[in-house]
Amino acid sequence: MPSLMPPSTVDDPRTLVSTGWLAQHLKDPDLRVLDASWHLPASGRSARAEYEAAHIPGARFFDIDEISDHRSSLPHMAPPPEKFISRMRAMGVGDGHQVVVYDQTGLFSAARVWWTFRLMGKMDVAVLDGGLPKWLAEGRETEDMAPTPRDRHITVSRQNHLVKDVTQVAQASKLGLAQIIDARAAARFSGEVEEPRPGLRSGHIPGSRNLPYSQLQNPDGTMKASADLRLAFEAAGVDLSKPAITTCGSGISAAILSLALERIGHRDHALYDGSWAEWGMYDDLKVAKG
Amino acid sequence: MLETLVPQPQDKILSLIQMYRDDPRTGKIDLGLGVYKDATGLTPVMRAVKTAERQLWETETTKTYTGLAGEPAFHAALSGLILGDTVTSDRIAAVATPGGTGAIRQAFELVRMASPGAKVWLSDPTWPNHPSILRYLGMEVATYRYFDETTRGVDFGGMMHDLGKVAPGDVVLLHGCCHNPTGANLTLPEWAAVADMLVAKGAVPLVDLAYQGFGDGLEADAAGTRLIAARCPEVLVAASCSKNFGIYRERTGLLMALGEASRKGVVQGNLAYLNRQNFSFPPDHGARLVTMILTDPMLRADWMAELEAVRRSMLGLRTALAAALQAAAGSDRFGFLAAHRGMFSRLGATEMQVERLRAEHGIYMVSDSRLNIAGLNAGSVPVLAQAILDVGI
Repeated sequence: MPSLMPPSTVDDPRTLVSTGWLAQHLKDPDLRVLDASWHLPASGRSARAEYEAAHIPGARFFDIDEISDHRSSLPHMAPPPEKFISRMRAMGVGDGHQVVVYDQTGLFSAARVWWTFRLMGKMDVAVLDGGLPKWLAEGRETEDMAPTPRDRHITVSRQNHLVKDVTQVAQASKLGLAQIIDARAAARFSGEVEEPRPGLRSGHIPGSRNLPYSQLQNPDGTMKASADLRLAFEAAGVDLSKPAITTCGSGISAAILSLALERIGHRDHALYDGSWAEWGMYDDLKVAKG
Repeated sequence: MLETLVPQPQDKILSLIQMYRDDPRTGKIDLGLGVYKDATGLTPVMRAVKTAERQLWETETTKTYTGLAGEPAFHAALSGLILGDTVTSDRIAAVATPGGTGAIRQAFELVRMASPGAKVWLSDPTWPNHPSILRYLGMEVATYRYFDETTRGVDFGGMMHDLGKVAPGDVVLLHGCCHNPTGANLTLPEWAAVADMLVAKGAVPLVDLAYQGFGDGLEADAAGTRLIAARCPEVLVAASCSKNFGIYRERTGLLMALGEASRKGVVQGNLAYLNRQNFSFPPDHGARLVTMILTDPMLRADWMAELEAVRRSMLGLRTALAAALQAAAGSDRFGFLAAHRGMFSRLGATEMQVERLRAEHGIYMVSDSRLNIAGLNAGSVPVLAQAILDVGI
């Protein structure tokens, strides 16, 4: 069938690639595909069970909760480098590979794993635009059998400037040195509704701006074009002349903001890994409402 | 034959330069001509340009003609810098032109050829060459409100009201960033509203992008153009490399016509035809340097760093001038200077006040009170601030 669609302008192997790009490169020997699905605890979905039922051919499952720092009481904090190395080795993901990450939602937790790879100094990683839903909607092939990976060496060089801890965020909030951007839904940001995690206060980090990650997406779950991404940031009152710190409920959807910032060429961004799961917990950290 | 010619009115800016040169006073300040100058008053060749020139001198083996439309590699490199990932290459027809003025001229000629009755709408005020070239070509000109003389910001309400009167097929010229001469610019949400209005009216935007990288940064300065390109079915973009590469005399520019992919071949042929009629082949040297810089990661990074330093120094001078005026005047009424972007700001002074600045203080600016921020330095900022207050602006 001749395609009337113009060639995609999406494809950038360091940020985002289209389903068409992935289909074309699926057989490349140096390509690794990861299913990085993660569902909110309340959704009742099991990302691993869905992976085992159907995934893009050759995809390995990246378990965000498992490949995290279990020494922390906070949910899925970035893994220590040695743990990341051991898991990637076992999954057969290593040096010289182009990685493509997708999820079962469309464009959600895959961005977090994209960010994790960059944190580990691995830049050749892209999110699949529109994820598994788009892949399926286009009638593309899936399989239910997991691949048998072979050990592969991976070199890691942790990029500490890509992550911020609570002290750094508190300082940025107080001094206004960075623009904090919060990806949670508007009602959670304003403090009108209770947080889904029990025991957390409602509201947001003083001085932060709200840009719900859904506003970065098209109705089909693909990421908006860069021109519209920039518009979304500006319409949210985000000051792009400052370095950015992205945040959300637990550091998953904040990575969608990070990906969008990278897409519009705003490279000076870091992610607040503790996010609201941490900030909402401590009474001595200030909270703004409205 | 020649005896029938009448003298042309002298170019205001060029006669200003002459007056400045003839002025014997030490400490005179030139804020007239639209050229970037560093703190020592020089317009240096950028490091990456020098390096590229050296490489080119070593490797260039021929000076034979380039393509009528210029080199496709130049089109690709510069359109990438301007449009990012907004538009697929199969929608972009492009020609290299002699500078940004050449791109504007070819854009107007393309409009005249494709749509002879089309009116071209210009911001009030705009760069004087826009109406001047249009009049020379015998094309119809209209203006839309743009500058609010009171706030010295954009009169967005007036602008949208006037754009509401645009007819289908009319062309609306927009300054992509760093509006010349006012320095007042649209916000991105305002760009979106303008794009929607032009789509609704069936008008064709012509974006003049002469200062990418001089305002809020390379990406931010292209954001309005990209939004227009993403939303409007047909768009013309006239770009200049004079300022952001500092290659004024090399005459390096690009005209892009974005439209339906199926029409690209015909549009491309017509653009090449226009080049052929006007000057055959476009200048190549500057275009080649730009291509080398944009496609070599080391050169590109160095160029971006130097351009960013230029941008920051102008921003610093703006902020310093606004702060000096705030301190001296004891009010915020000059805050607009810090909000403006690019090389220019319109002070909003009368011609008499501008003349007094020249006569009494040796400060030269265009009579519409456009001042070139890059003409300042740390020493002249307080002098200008005091002079502005002395003449009662």
